[in-house]
Amino acid sequence: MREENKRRKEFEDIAMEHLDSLFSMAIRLVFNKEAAEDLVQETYLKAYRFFDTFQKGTNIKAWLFKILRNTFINKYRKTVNLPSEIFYEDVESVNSNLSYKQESDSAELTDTLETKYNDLGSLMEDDVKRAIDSLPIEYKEAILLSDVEELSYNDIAEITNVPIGTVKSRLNRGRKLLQKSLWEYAKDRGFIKRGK
Amino acid sequence: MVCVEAIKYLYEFLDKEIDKSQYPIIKEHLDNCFECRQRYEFEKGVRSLVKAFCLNTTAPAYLHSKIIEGLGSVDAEISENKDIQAISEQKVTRAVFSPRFYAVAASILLLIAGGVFYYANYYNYNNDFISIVDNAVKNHVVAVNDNLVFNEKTSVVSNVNKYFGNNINNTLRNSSPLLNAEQIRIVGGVPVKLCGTSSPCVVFDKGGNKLSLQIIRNSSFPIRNLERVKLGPKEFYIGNRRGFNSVVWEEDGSTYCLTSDINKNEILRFAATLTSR
Repeated sequence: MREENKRRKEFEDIAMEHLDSLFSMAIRLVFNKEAAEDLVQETYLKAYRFFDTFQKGTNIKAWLFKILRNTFINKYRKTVNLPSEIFYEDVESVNSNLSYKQESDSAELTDTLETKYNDLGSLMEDDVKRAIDSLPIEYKEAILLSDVEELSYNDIAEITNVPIGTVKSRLNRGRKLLQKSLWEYAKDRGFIKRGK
Repeated sequence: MVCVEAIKYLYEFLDKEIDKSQYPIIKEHLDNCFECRQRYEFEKGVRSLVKAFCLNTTAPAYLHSKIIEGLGSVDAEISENKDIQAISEQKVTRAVFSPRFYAVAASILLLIAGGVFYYANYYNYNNDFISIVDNAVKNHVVAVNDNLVFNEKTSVVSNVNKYFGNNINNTLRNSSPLLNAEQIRIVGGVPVKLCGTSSPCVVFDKGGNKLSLQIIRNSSFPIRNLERVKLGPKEFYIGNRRGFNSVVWEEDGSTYCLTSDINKNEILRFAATLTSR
């Protein structure tokens, strides 16, 4: 019994502090509070059952995220449209060849970065939510794991089961998509005073 | 360093993933190049927006206590299993260390000579229900999650494929039904530990749900404590552990065990399609 208590306490000590992080990710995956709660609970119970397989000293947060992700995929496989890797990687390599100059010369980036930066402040919380939620799932998860959870490329690669190069290109493309839609929402809201 | 290069490594710089030797070079460029610094600030701005928004989402307080409660029931489940194991081990111990000398000799002989057969009886008579369904669920979880990694190379599935060759389509992405009863039948010479974690186990998809089928050879069919269901000409036994349903049936002297988290009726119906020829 004592041994179990020890195991339990250890788990509670190191795993439970990531509850908010997991919940925040879960709700961005399932868009529904109740479903997110279920997903997180299932993740924790599964993690606890398999706690023996967790390698002490490695990143437990990454481990928990991995279980969350696998649980999510198992549960929602029917409804989740996982992308075909090859297709996206192809798009990636084409886009990454664009140099910064070429990019900023393109029509959509006529506004200076300075106005763009200032406009970010006028975005509503709801815009940010919409922009994140509308991202394709593989970009979304990469961005959340990196920007919010500050996990390393290595951890993200491990969690999402893809090579590091793919993580990088997903972040690259995902962030561009995110910026683009944030920018568009900002414009839609009419907060932007042009020609000022 | 030119702008193109600085921008190329900008994300890695921001993500603190840049090579140590590169870091000061890029930092210097950002400090001195107005345009790139603007870009850097913009990226940072977007990032902090996303972060602030997500950190704002917190789990409701009751979820924490609900999970803690759940951990308690997992503990209870584990200690229950341990108790059962302890009882069976006790039985064996008593038999081996009986004061009567013969019994010791006989047991040892039996152990040596009986080998696997003894092992089989030990399982069947002491805890057939526990071992069959429990192991099935354990295997299922391990096989489906492959220790929480989807990796067909190291998983139980690949072990099985060694024996089944190309008969089984193990591409998890393909939709079902992947198998029919003919394909899963074991052809001679498959080393299978009874009820052990190395029972061959095949994972496949049925409309997005993962199912695993395990084949337990040469075991006498377990019936105790399992719910019996008759479907068509065939009898099935159904058990539930840890929220997974297992359907057990016998065919040609082998015990088949289909496990999944889909509901009872659905899994039964599917089991029935596997048995029909």
